[in-house]
Amino acid sequence: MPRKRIPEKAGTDHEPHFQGEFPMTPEQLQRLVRMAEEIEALERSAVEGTSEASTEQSGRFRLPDPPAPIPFSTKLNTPHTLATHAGSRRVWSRWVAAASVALIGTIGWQALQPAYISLRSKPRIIAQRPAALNGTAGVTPSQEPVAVRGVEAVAPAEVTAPVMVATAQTPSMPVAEQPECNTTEPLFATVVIAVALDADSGCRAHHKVIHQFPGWASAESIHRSDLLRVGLESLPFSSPDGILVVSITGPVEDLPHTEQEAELKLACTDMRRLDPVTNALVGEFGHDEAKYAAAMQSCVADNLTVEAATMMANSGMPKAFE
Amino acid sequence: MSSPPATPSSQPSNPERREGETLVQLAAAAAKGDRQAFEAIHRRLSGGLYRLFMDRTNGRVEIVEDLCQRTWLAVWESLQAGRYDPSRSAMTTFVYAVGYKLWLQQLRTFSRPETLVPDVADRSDASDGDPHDAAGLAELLQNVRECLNASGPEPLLTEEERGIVRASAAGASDRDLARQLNIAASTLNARKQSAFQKIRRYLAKKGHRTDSTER
Repeated sequence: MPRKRIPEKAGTDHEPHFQGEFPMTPEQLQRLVRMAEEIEALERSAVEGTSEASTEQSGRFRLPDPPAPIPFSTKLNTPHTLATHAGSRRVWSRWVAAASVALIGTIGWQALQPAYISLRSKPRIIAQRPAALNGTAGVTPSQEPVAVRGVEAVAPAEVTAPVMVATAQTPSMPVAEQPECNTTEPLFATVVIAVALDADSGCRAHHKVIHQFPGWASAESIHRSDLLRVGLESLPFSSPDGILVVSITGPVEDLPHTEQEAELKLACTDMRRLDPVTNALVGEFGHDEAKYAAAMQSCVADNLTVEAATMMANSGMPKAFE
Repeated sequence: MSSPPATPSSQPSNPERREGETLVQLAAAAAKGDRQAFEAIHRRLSGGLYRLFMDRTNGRVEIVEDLCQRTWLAVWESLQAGRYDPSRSAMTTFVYAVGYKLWLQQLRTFSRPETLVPDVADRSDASDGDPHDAAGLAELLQNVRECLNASGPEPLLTEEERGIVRASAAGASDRDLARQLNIAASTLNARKQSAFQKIRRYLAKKGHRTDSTER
């Protein structure tokens, strides 16, 4: 079919830039190029035999199964008898849409429900692991909380007689010091053992208390005055004539947990070497606190730190001790 | 048309027997009213056309099916009416042009007018989007394909120009292309404009004009 040639000056007043050219903007040319590439793709699909459609004989051309992937896989499972009916794809599309809506609704309903809380499960306490003391890292906390005990008997009567043993059941302060439901349960603690003598009543008492000093992670941070204060406050009598306070700091699992364990530590320290005649607290060790600490240190694990403090009334040995 | 066009389904067919023929042969036979040839063409191109419409409509199956049905019916009617000239465009290009016009028609029917933009099909035809008059668009597209074709004895565009035009049409920026070709962006723009100018001249040489009613 003969084509009309464009005259040499084809540009009009509106299109002065396309003289002798097909007046199209670069954008329009690019669109033509894209369309040409789509045609090439269509041609390639024919050459590659990707269109495997079959033509059905009806009033109109029946569409074959699409070669391109269908958004919903359920279409592939559609029975052939249904597929031949007009509008079957619409039915399936609505089914799939309804199923999707139901699924989304179910997920949303579950998301709005409160979370199930098991009453049988124990609350999890995330312990904040503090810095290791004396290189003892990775110590697991004890399942059993460190108990605060009352005043305990020191020794059998035949050993310490005629010393009376006071058995105060309620220590004055340690219970209040123990944290309640504290998620930062320390892995390290300090056990304070106070041994005191009241010359007036002739009572002798041993106290094992648990105390958390401000700088509990380090035994060196326990000041001597704090140690004595804790020991004095734990006594059942207000003005002891002599007191020996020993603190053991370290991992909870290595500390004495029970009365019996504390007794063993005291026995190990061999407090009976104290003057048996005067029943003085300060015996062969005198006022040398370092000796008490060394004696206790030899009875406990190496990762425990022992501090000791003594105080005697009247700036010296009481008369009863002399 | 005084009488309704015949449809390919009016006679029994066996398109498998035409598998050995090329699309050019089938198109020539279909243009003469060979239903089997048309069914063979449909068999070969329907999948690609379906995929094309799926891409354009974002997978809306109902619209795709309708467009495919109308496209093949319009192609058959155009063949029966003698509107397709195998010497001016390939059958693939013609089917694409018919489908493209129908797609534009679909857009104009169901879209707001202000969202529509002038299309190249508006320049190539004065038929106001009638898919039966897609021969002009098909010829225009065929000529563009010839410009991009490198198999001819004297390719219109160099290999670099073809790459620039295709990449630019695909959305690549001049700066990215210049970086890939290791040339300046201004140089790349000049080469791209030169390629477009060659295409415009080629299309003008082929007789395409703005006023397509003169054709």
